[in-house]
Amino acid sequence: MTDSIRKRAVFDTNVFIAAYMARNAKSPTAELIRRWRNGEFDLLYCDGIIDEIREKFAEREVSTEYLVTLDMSS
Amino acid sequence: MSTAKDKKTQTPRMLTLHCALQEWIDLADELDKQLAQLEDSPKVRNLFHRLLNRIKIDIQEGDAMVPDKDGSYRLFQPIKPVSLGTLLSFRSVARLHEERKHWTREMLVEEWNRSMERARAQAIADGRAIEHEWEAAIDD
Repeated sequence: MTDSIRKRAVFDTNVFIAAYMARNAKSPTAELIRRWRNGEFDLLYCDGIIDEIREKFAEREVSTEYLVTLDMSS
Repeated sequence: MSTAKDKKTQTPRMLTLHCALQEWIDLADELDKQLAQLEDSPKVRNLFHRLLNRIKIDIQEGDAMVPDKDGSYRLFQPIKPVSLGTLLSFRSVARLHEERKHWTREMLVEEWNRSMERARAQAIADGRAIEHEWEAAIDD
């Protein structure tokens, strides 16, 4: 895939919640995270999105350390 | 006891916070590390992070120029307060990134997958796991 046609995506916050909390380990959202991590596309985000993910993780009692392990700076 | 008249004449209280942001993050970082040592760590840390999420910091980074389809640019002002917890996360991510910068892509992907599965296992054990993905949007 060349850079000019490389896919870019913005995830809704719920994608992260569903990927980390769904019983089904093969859920479509978990697959999306894996594909992003495998470098199949670039994920676009901003401080506001990270802030919202943090908020949702805290509301759902998902440890924020998992947000850190997403390491979006890479 | 306040009367209806009092309520009309009362002005909202303003709480002004004076602090050095850097100092806040340093303290939050230190407290978070110490909370991680506690026996009830997950619950206490979760409460702490919920508190951090409630404290919003307005950071004005200045204007950004966003490209349009016709090749022109338009002004975008990304001014939205973020929480103190998010600023703390950025620091943690930078630290983690520094520790792992020599890792191969395969090692990173493996670790990310493991962390996702740890979170899922914890959610199932705690009874917080969701059956269907649409449940992630409840109360959104």
